[in-house]
Amino acid sequence: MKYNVQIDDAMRVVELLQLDDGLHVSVDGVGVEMDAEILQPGLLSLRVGKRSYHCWLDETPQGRRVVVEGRRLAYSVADPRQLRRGAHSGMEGGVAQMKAPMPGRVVNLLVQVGDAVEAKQGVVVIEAMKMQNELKAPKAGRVVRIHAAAGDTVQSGAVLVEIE
Amino acid sequence: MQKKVQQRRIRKVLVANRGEIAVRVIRACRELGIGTVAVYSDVDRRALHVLHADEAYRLGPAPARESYLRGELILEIAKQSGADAIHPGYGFLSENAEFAEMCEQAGVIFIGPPASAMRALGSKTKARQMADSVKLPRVPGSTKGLESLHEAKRVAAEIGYPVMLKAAAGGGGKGMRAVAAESELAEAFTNASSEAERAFGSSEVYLEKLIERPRHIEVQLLADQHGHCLYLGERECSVQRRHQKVIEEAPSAVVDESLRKRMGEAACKLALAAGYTNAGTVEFLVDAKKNFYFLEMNTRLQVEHPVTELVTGLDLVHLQLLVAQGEPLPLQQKDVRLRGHAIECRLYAEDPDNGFMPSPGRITRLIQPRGPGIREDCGVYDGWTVPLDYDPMLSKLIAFAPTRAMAIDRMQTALAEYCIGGVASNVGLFQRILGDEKFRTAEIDTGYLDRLLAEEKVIAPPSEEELMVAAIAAALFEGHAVKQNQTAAAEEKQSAWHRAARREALRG
Repeated sequence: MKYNVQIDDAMRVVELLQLDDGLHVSVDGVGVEMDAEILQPGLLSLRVGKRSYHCWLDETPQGRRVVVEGRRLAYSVADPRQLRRGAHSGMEGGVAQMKAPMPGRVVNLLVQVGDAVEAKQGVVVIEAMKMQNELKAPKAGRVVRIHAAAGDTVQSGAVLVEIE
Repeated sequence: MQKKVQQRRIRKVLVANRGEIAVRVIRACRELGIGTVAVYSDVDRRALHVLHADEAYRLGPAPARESYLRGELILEIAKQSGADAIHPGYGFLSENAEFAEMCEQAGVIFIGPPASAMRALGSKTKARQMADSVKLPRVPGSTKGLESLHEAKRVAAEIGYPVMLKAAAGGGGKGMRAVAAESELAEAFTNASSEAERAFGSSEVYLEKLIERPRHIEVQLLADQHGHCLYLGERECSVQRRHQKVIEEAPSAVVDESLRKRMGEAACKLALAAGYTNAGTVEFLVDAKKNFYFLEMNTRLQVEHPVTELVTGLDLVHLQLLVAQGEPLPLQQKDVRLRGHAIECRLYAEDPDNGFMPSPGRITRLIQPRGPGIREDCGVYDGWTVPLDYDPMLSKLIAFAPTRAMAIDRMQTALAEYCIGGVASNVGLFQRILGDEKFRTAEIDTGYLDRLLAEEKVIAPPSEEELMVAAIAAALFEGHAVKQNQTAAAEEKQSAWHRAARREALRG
C-alpha cells in the first residue's frame, strides 16, 4: 500500500508491504531497514538503523500530528479514498467563512457588513472557558455577511462572519 | 496578647473545589486519616476529584454560579455529611469573606484566614491602606476605589503615565488594563469596570503606577492562631501572559538571603497586623534595583504552592489543616531552610500556535513523565472530557533539582516525554521558553513572555531522518486505522451472516 504523506512542509511517498517475512518499508522508492511495533492504536515503537524512536499520534480538532522525540509534526495522508471525498475548507468561491472554533458566547463584533478588513485584523471576540479570544480575518477582503450578534451563544463550527 | 485558642480536631473535610487542587487536598487529608467529601457540577460527575473522595455530592448545573459558587448549598452539604471543615482550594469561594463568615457562624472550620482578615486584605484597595499602616512600600497610586472617570484622570495625572487600572476585588488578571496615555483612559476604565463587575460582582477599580519591567516575586506565609507567622521563602512568577502566571519557580534567581529576610519580615508584619492565619501569599513587584513594592495579598493557598513545598520540604496542606485545628506551628523561622530549585509549568488545554485558543474536549491519550525530581499535580485522565465551563488548566508539572540549570533540564526532559492527545496543549510553549537563553539566564520580568512571543519563532527544521521516521509513523497509523476498520467491517459482516443463519435455523 502506498501513502502520500504530507509531513510538516515536505512530501514523502511511503510504501508498506506486509510479506511473509515481515513488514517491508520504502520511502520515496528507497528501502528502509527498520522494524515497527504498534503498542496501542496511535502509539508506535520504531527501530531505524541504530536508533529507537517512540512515536505517537496526536489528533486534535486542529488536525493530526505525529510526535517524534517530543517534536510535533503536522501531517496528512492522501490515499485515493480521501482524495475522492474532497478537501474540506472554509474557502469557497473566494468567500472565507470564519467559524467559531469552540462553543462560546459572542462578546463583540468589531466589523459591520461592507467593511474592508486586512488579513489578521480582529473581527469577532468570543468568550469561552472564561477567556476572551479575538478571531482574526483569514484574508484581506470585504465583510459580506454576519451571522451572529453580540450576546449570542454559538456552537463549535458555527459560521460567524463571511469575508470576500 | 495571648488569647485562648480553641483546638478542635478535624475528622472530615469538604473540598469546595474541583480539578487538580481538589485532588491535592483530598490526598493530603487521606494521608492524615481525615475523611473527604467532594462536590461536583453536572459536567464533573466523572471528574478525578469525585473519584478520589470518600463521599461526593452534586451541586447543580455546570456554570460556577449554579454549582461551585453556591456557598449556602455547600455549607448545607458539609453539615449533612458531617464534615467539620471546608477547604476552599483556590478560585471559587476561596477569597469570599461572606462564605468564610457563614462557615464560622455555622461552626464549620473554614480552612483559611478569618473573614475579618480577608476583608482587611482581600480587597486590593483595603490591602494598600493596610500596607501604608505598617509602612510596607507599595506601588504608588490610589488606595481607594475610583468614583468616576474624572477622578481616574486626576489620579493618573498625579502619579504619571503609564498607569495600571485594577479591579479591587480582582485576581487572575481580570479587570486589569495598562493605560499608556490619558486618551486611552476612558475606554480602559469602562472595560475594566465592566469586566470586574462580571467576574467578581464588584466594579470597583483603582489606579497604580506602572512599574517598568518589574519582576513578580511573592512570599509564602503561614500563620497560626497563636500569633506566629513564618515566611517560607519566595517564588518568582515573572513569566506571565495576560497577567496570568505561566511558569513559577522557587527560589528566585535574584533574591539573596538579605532581600529574602527583608521581604519575608515585611510580609509577616502585614499579615500579623491584619490578624491573618493559615496560608497566604504577599505579592511584590521588584524593580531592576531590587526595590520591592507591595502589590497585593492572596488570602488562600496558591496554584504554585508546590514549588515552595519542594524547596522547603514542607507540606502546606498538612500545615493548613494543622493551624486550622488551632494547633501552634510545629516549626520556627530558623527551621525553614531552602534546598535546591523547583520550577512549575501550568499545562493548559489551549493552543499557543492559534492565539492561545482554549481547546476543551476529550483527552484521547495521556502518558505522563516520571522519574527523579518530577511531580505532577494533575486533574485529568485519559478519557476525561475537559469541560468548557471552567479554567482550562489540565495539570501542573513540577521539576525539582539541586540547581536552577538542572531543574530546567529536568523539566525539558519531562516535557519531551509528555504525551497529551485529543486536546491542544501548551507543552510546546514551555519547551520554547525553557530553551530560551534569556530564561536560562533568568533575565526575566513580567513583560518577558510577551516579548518572546512577539519574536519570530525560530524552529530548527526537522532533520531528514526525523521526517522519514514521522512519515513512516504517519503511514503506519493510517494503515493500522484502515486495517482496524476493515476488521470491524468484516466482523460486522460476519455477525450479519450469523444473524441471518440464526433466523434460518429458527424458522426450521
